[in-house]
Amino acid sequence: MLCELCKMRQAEGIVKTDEGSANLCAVCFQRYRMLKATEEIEGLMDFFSMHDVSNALSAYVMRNVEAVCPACGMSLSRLKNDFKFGCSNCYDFFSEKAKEYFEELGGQEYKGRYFGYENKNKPRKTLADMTVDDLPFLMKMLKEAKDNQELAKADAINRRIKQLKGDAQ
Amino acid sequence: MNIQDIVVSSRIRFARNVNNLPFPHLLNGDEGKLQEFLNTVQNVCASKFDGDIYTVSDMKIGGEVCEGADDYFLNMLIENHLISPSLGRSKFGGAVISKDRSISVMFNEEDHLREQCILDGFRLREAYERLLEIDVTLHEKLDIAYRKGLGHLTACPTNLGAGMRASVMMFLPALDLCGDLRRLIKKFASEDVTIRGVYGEGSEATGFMYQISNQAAVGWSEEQIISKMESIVKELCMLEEQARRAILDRKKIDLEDQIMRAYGTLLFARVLGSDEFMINIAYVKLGISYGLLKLDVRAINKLIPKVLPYTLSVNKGKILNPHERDVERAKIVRSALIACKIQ
Repeated sequence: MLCELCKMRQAEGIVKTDEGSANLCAVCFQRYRMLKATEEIEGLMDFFSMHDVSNALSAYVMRNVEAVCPACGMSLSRLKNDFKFGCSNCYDFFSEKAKEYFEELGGQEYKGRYFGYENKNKPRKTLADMTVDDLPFLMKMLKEAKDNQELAKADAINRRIKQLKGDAQ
Repeated sequence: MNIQDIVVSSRIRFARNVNNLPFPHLLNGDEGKLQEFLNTVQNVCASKFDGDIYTVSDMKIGGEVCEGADDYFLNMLIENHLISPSLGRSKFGGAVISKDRSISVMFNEEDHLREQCILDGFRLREAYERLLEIDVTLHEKLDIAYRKGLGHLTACPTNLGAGMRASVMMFLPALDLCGDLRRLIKKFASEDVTIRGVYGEGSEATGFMYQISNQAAVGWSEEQIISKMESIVKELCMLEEQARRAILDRKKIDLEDQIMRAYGTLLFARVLGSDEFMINIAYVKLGISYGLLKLDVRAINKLIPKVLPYTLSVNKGKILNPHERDVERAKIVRSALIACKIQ
């Protein structure tokens, strides 16, 4: 059954509200709890300073609401338990945890083959920036340039391939 | 040293994911992007190789075998290393498999995509380059998850970086019989390389066949992974050669006896169990490497997957009970051994 609030994710449980009950997914459930907490604390605002309210809210959130990735609903406790991220966005949302895992796994920065496609709006790597790791990609580019009769381009690629092969030896 | 006698096959695998779609273990199946993703994968595969597409439910129904043969086709694909056992548990998984069975692209296994290329013999680089052609096109058509520094983003952080695993299947009877393999497993584990049974983690080595693969290689480049694996495979081949010579020097007549008995069993048996076949064929292969038997080792390597339990039933087109399988296996092995004799 789909979540009655977002109508996107699968509902995981029933929540009793003032108006009745609703089937909610994990993400909407967390949002609902957050909303309830805010409502309760708003009632105290007439009696305490903004600073006190803010502290109380932070403490409440820390105690009762676990952070979940807004894109997929993955929680930190589930991530720790399963040792699996929920989506690519989790790597940004749980960046501290991702960094921790990365360090545990050696922390070596990836310098392998660069596709240049992760953001299609950014310019791709130039021939001069390509390294020995890009040789298979260069061979493919060379074949395409030859097939398309782009002789000048093919010549430039060929020169770069020879240069890289020379460097590798 | 003949590396091709020792290295049975080479495999390269890439793990990839796309942005804005939950990783497979969180998929509900109602994500609009899921169908779009599957269509793109199917189109890219169709443009790159001649293959068939199967969803996990197709594989489970086993329609290609016969009625009632549930899971037979799925298990046949697993025993031939065309899909992983965990794909069978995936709700929205499937695979596109090339007709020649060298390439398979699994979708929604642990990651959105698991591309792999398996080639006979020691051909890691060739497998890598073949797979690269498909991978580059998938990168052009899909929004692949990637972060500078981390590399390709994967469900399990141990696959971060190149998202690549290189593995070779090796035939290491002498190292196994000498008892040296245990020491080597420990030694290579410290270099992030694992030696394990042919069906991966937790599986037993059948017929002295071992899978050697790179482990957590976060940050390693593709070139580093392949070079590392090549140097380890060459080292293992050299050690296996030395061990083969040592065994022959120590107990020549006993070894010859075992090899010839194994050959005799395979040649004359009318009922041949799977384990019995695996151990005897291993000794026959050893006999070929010593020059005692004049048989084509490549033909022998091709024979092994044909007589695996589920493959036998699938190829026969009907469910075979264990005894029928053993009879069928004996028949296939007999004719194959006669056909692969080198005059």
